Amino acid sequence: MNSLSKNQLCALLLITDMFGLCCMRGSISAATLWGVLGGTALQFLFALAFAVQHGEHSKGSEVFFLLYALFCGGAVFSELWRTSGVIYIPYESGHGIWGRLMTAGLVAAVCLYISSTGMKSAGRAAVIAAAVGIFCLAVDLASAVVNADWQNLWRPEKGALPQSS
Amino acid sequence: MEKKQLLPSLDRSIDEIRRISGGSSDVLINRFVTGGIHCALLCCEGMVSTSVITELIFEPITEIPPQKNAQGLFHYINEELLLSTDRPQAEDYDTLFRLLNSGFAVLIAEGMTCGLAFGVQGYNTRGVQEPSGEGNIMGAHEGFTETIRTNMSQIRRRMKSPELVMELFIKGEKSSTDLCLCYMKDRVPEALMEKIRSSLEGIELEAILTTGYIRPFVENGSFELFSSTGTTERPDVLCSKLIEGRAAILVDGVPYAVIIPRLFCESFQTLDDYAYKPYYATFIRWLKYAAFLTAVLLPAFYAAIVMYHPELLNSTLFMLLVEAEKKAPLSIVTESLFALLMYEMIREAGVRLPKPTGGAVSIISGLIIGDAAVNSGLVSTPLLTMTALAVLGGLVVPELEPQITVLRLAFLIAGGALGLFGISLLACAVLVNICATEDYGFPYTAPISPFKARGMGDTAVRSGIKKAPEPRLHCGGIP
Repeated sequence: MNSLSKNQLCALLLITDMFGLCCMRGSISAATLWGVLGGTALQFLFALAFAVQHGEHSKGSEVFFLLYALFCGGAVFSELWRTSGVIYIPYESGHGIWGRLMTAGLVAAVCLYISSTGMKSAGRAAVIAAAVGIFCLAVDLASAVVNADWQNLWRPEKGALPQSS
Repeated sequence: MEKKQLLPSLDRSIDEIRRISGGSSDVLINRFVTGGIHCALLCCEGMVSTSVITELIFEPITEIPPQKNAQGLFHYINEELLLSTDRPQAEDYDTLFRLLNSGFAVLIAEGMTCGLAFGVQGYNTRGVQEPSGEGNIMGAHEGFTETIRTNMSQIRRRMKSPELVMELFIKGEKSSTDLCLCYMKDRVPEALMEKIRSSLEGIELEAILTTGYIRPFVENGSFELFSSTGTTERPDVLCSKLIEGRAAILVDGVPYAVIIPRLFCESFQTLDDYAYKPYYATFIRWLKYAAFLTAVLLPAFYAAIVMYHPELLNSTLFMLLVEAEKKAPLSIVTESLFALLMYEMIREAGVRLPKPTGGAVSIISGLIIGDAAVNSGLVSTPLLTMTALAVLGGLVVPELEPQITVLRLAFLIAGGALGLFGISLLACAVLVNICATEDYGFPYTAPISPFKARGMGDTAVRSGIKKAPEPRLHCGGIP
């Protein structure tokens, strides 16, 4: 019930990272983007190293992955809390602390249900969700490319800047 | 019923039979003397063919030469006469009554502690007809009937391979219903068959009257929205599943077979797909996927977007919907629920009532009530259009109709209460529930997740038959 294939593990990690990306608000600097990509790559490397190990894992690696899981859980919770503030709930009481609590509570309830069904079903669902997410991102990117103002990619010459009066 | 051995005294045995049957009028006991031995032929009225019993049993039996004793008589009948192809023996009254009630004639004789049974079934049955629930344009037009042996013959006629195994057994304390477990022994691992057999052994019911009685015993006990076993009333569909390595259960008295296990993607496949060109079959398949999503999500998205996220609509559409909805006295969610529940009531009335009345009810409800609701302003026209589209989408995938009905209402309530956020949350929970559905180690969402590239040739598209010489999926192939 709780064994995962490598594909499912990768999909789970990808979903976690995508959630982090989705939770980011405002504009993203190049440094943040590289940071996220670097973090994701490192995470995948660790996961791959974990996945290719055969037989019993060493005590050290188990402790490391437990700490890493706790860190990830904390990071996801913090992202969830930030996100709950901006999720739109169509009630007056949906704004403020009670709204955030309700949002976080609902998300947590769904997460609890997901974890109750076991790792394997979560892994399978992650594969489908990742596929849907990639499709949506592709549509989003295609739309962004079509509507992009390509002039913004080049730095305007000094003389071309508008003079303030 | 007690498992009591047959008594050697014919008179006492007949008394015992009368006692057990409570003097039931349909148990016929014909006493006669043949070969110098007192005998009785027992049968159940209406279950045997009178002409067959006269020609194949009474006429040869009454011409038997004198015998020394009852053993000699039974030996003569067994060795010299070929009265019937199906000739089991009844050692106890339990077996004797089971055979009588299955259309056998049972011969008992003075001094014998067993009875000879002859298969002379002659009860009225419905003939092989076109299935009403699984339409097919270019395939066979034969469906299962209520008689298990006719259904077995229909499968055997299509699958002449000796690898096809049909195991008959009896379940149901009172009904003693014949069940038949069918599988291809070269396609299904023996370990899986053992698991299915042990699940079936756990059936302890008084009667088995439909396939629904046995499905909970072969399904996973956990809460599953979608059923991991399927049913079909078409022998050709069942044969295609047997080739793919599934097992099937036939139930006597039911024109449906249970398929174990069933995959989610199979609800969108029909045998007609393989009669059309692959590009058209692929188009139809994607149309069905879209229809399923429309059926489940359209009313919920309509309510959520119009009520809470109108910024997603363009200005023309927004003004059109505002104009339509401002005349309606109820909220959009209430209107949607009203329209959907009305449809469910009309559908249920149409199904349960006699056909002529049912048709009239559907016409009256659809035309008059629908028209009146719109004209009176109780329900807005765009909402009714969305509801009708969702209902139509559900009819494209009839096998998933119960799930679609419930999910449509659940998503509507979630969308109406929490907007797109509610729909997303519920979608996550439903997705995980579908992914958690698994029986005998066979994931319901295969081959999408766990991803099996070989299976996508008949899931995402319908590739040519030449490209798929092997069975698309078989039980041993899924992790």
